[in-house]
Formats: sequence, C-alpha cells, structure tokens
Amino acid sequence: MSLWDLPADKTAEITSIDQLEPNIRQRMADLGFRPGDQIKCLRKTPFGAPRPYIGPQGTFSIEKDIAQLVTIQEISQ
Amino acid sequence: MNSIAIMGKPNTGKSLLFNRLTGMNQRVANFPGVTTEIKSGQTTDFSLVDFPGAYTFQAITRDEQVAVERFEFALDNKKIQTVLCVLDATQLSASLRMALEVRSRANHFGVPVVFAVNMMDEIKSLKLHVDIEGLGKALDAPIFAISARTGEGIKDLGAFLRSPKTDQVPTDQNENFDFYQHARELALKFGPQTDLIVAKKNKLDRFFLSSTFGGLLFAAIMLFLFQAIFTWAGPFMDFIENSIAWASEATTGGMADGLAKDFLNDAIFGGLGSFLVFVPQIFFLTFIVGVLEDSGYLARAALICHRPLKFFGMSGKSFIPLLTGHACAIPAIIAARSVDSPKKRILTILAVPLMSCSARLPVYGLLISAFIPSVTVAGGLFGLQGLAFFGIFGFSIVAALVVTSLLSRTTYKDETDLPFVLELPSYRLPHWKPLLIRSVRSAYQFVSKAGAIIFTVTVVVWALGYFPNGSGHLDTSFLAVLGKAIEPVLAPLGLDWKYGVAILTSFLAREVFVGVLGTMFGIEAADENVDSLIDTIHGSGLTFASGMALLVFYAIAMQCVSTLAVIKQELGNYKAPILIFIGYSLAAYLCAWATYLVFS
Repeated sequence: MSLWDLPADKTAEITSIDQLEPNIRQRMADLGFRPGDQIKCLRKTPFGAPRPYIGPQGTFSIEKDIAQLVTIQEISQ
Repeated sequence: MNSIAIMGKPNTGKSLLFNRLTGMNQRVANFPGVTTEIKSGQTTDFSLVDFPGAYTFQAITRDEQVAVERFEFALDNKKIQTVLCVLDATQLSASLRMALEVRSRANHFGVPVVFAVNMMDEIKSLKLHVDIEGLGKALDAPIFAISARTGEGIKDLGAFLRSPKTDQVPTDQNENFDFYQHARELALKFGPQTDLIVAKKNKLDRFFLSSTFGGLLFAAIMLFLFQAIFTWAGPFMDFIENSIAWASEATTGGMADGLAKDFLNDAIFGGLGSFLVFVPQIFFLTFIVGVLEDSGYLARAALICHRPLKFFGMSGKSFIPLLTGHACAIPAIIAARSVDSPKKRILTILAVPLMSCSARLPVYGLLISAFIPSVTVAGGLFGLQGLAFFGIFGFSIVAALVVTSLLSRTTYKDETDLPFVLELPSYRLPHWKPLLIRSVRSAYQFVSKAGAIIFTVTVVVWALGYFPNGSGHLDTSFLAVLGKAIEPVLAPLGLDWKYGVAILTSFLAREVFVGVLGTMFGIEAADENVDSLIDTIHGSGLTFASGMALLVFYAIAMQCVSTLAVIKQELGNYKAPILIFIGYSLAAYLCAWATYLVFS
C-alpha cells in the first residue's frame, strides 16, 4: 500500500521510496522517510490537503502526489 | 574582531538567538524558512552572521542553495572564525542531522564549532530531559543549553563567544559517513522521544486541521484579520486625525493669510497629514499576521491552502509570500525563495504585486469610508465597511489566481516543478516583545520610506496647483493644464482631471494618491475650515460607480517602482518587470472601466 492509503493514527514502516524522482527521494530520505523508518499518519485533512505525518525527524505535511509513491507496510498494533 | 556564523536546520530559533545576542530586531517567526537573507549584526566583542536554515547541504530550494554556497564561501575565505550551530531540543534528531554536517564542513576548513541547544524552556515545561553534557562529549565540542525565548543560558553562551576556544581537533568525515544514522543514534541516546513532544504540542491540530472545521476556521480567521484592521485601528485613526487638525490650527491659526499659511495648510497638513491617519491599520495588520506566524498556525494555513493554490499554479508554500504581500510586496517577493518549485516560485512572484499591500490601505480606506455606509449587518456581527475591505482584498486575490492559473497553463507550462513537503512546527505562544517591535517598526518604516516620496510629490503637486494664480484658482493652475490633457483617458471611468493627476502621480508609489487629493482640494477650497477629505470627495461630485472603479483600478495597477526593482533582482531579467508593469496597468484600466459600467 502507499503512504496516502495509511489511515489516521496508524503507523507503518516504509518499504520503498524508489518510485520518487532522484532529488525528491534524496530530500525525503533526509527528512526521515527511508525504507525501514516508521511513519505515523497524524490525521486526514480538509479538501484533500497534504496530510501531516510524523517520522523520526519531525512532523511533515506531504501531498498526495508524493505520498502515493511511497510504499509502506502497515504495522498492526 | 571575531566573526561568528549562526547555522542550523530551519525553525530552530536562530534569528531569535541572533536578536538576543546582538540586541537587534530581526524578523522571527514560527515557520520554517523565515530567514531568506543572510543578515549580520555586531556586539562590542564579536560580529554575528545569521544564515538561512537548511535541512542538509544537498540544497534543493533556492534559499538553501544561497545559504550553503555563502556559508562554504565564508568558511573557505576565512571570513568566519567560529560557527555557532543551533539545535532544537524538541527535534533533536532532525537538528543533529544538519549539525553533524555543519561540524564536518566547518572542521574541514579548520573552523571550530560551538553548539547551542535551544528551546530548553519547552523541554522543561513538558517535564522531559536532554543530556546536554553527554551530547557535548559525543560531539566533542562546547555545548550550551539555552532558551532564546526566555533568555536562559544566553549570558554564558555570550561570554564563551567573546573568547571561543580554538583548539578543536578536526574530525573530517569521509564522503560515505551516514549523518542521518549517527544523528538518530545520538538523539535516541541523549534526547527525549520526539513523538511524545508532538503528541503534547500539536493537540490543537484536532481543530485547525479537522476535516469538518479546518476550512471554516481558516475562513473565520482571515475574516477576523480584516475586521480587526478596521475596528481596532478606528480609535487610533480618530486620534491621529484630531491631532493633525489640532496641530494645523495651532500652527497656522495666528498666521497672516498668504503663501506660507497656504503651503502649511494645503501641502503639509492637507497632504502629508491625510496619509498618516492610516498608520494604525498598518500596525495592526503586521501584528495580527505576526501572531498567526509565531503561533505556528500559518504552516497549517499553508497546508489547507495547498490544493486550491495548486489548482491555480502555485503551492501551499506560496501562502506565506501571498499573505506577507498584504503588508508589503518587497519582503514577500524575497520570501518566495522558500517556494522550492521554480515554476511555482515564478508564479508566486507574479501574484504578489496584486496582493493588497499596506500602501493600498490608505486608498481603500478613503474610498470605502467615502462610499460604503458605516453600519453593521448580520445582527451587528459585521461592519459593512469591514466586509467591503474583505471584499476588495478578496477581489485582488481572485485576480491573482486568474493570472497564475492562465500563465501556469500557457507561458510557464514546461517550467521545472517540485512537489510539496513542509515541516509542521509545534504550536507556540508568540514572542510578544519582538512582535510588537516589528509592528511598530513596519509602521515607522512605512512612514519614513513613503513619507519622503509623499512629501516631495505633495510639494511639487502643491506648487503646480497653487501657481500662477494662488489659492482658490486650482482650475487655472499649471496642474489643471497637465490634468486636463489626460482627462479624456479617464472620462470613460467618470473621473475628472483632479483624480487623473492623483492617479498619474501614484505610479511612483500608490500611497501618494490620498496626499495629492488632500493637497489639491485644499488649494481649491481656499478657506481655513477645509472639510474632511471624505466630505470633499462627496462634494466633488464623484459618483459611487467612479469610486468603485477607482477601488478596482488601485487593486490591480502596478504602481510601485521598488516592487519592480525587486522582481528584476529575483528573476534576473528586465523582461518580467516590464511585462508586469504594462500588463497589470492595462488590466487595471479595463477592469475599472467594466466596474464603472456595471455600477452606473
């Protein structure tokens, strides 16, 4: 599944960011979105706005176009 | 003198620390990327250079590129003797990621680094702990726990910076060193858990980012902003108006009739005075935008606006330049550097001049007061004049969106684009003192910068309107000859030559409109008890339709030489400012004409 499919308050582990373009991939990796990192979706947002995700480097809002290209594995709690 | 560079990731409080150490009042806010220019300041013992924050040295945004290039240039050319690297204690891992890279670069050039772990007041209030001593040992560098907000630890840091130790051993990392992994390990070992902090600090997002209320709250906050500009500033504006009337009477009351008295009454009190009245509105605009910025809400607003702005060719990050543009287009165009996508950055720069900057406020204020009744609607909830303000601001925004929407699908269709990723800062209480100082300063700068232009233009207009026949003969003055020459262009808008002169002079700077009108009507009335400018406008026979046409004209027209100069600087060519000037001026005229036809 993709990061955009992750429900609010659920945590997942990133499995791949290879679909992202190289400079975006580099930036996402720098911001704490690397394979193996755990990410939590804080909430769904109004008007399909970018969603806030908390990763190891802080909270970032990410738009659909990118979140859809980040592959994840949901962690059951 | 020792020169110290301040570096770190965005939104770690570098500028607030810079202000604390230098006693200066640089702009600070709770939003990543507020510092887009390199600023320097002096203390008696050392000089400080504040660099814009960056997440890594692999810069992808324009402001990051500027920061990184200049930083390395300064290190290479021995312009910096020490680097002060600022970390955010509430986001230790992310700050350390950049800090480790800063240390590596600085050490490569033989420059020692000192670390300041900021926001320790928040760590304490959350009852968390950071092992400062342990972290200092692991980093092999002097380290200070500080709070730039409360001033905690600043004295010790300042004392150290006066004579920093220079015997740091270079720890040059090889190219494959994983800064990211090392930062995470250090943060885990010495810092608190980040998700605990996020959970505690971002509870307000339940409301502000709620799918049901988020959009409504955003609209309500924006409406409140414009209502407040009008309502809160009201008593202060009355006070200034009365003071000017009193000063005019006190100065010229006992003077004999003649040139000197006419000059003081018409050019000074009539022209310059009528513009000063609007200073409180500029103060409140800066103050409220500052509160939103400092509190962390603006980053949420950027998020909420992203989808709609994207549709119109911009990004959520364009929201900050667009909002700043409501105070002044110049810092707003520079702030557009934080829009990482080159395409969206250009479109943001093109949209900013259409935002209702504070120089437009006096013009709007005058026309709205003259043509919109001062009554309340919706059971006393809203003032009609405040709503009219909201309306004209909204009109400018719509105009900007139409422009960017068209250009993004035509001229700039193939420009490089980048997607949206934005750090969400924690909610915080605003830093009241710097905010107040900044608001006062923006009002002062507006008066001092615009004041000189307005004074010059007013005096020239007064002289042209006064001579050769003196007070009461404006119709036969030199100004009338000039004005009547351009009257045919303005006749379709129902405007006479006096408004033509005011419009023509305001192509230098739009705020001179009010002053020039005040001066001309002063000469025309030729008596001591000149009516207020609003009454005079009514008396001049200006119709509602022409008033609205003027309002629309000023909302769109590109009447600011400084803005054009900054656009040239930022985009690096003359073509863009020239096209903007011609395009927006033509559009302003056509829209004003359409407005006149609709209302008449």
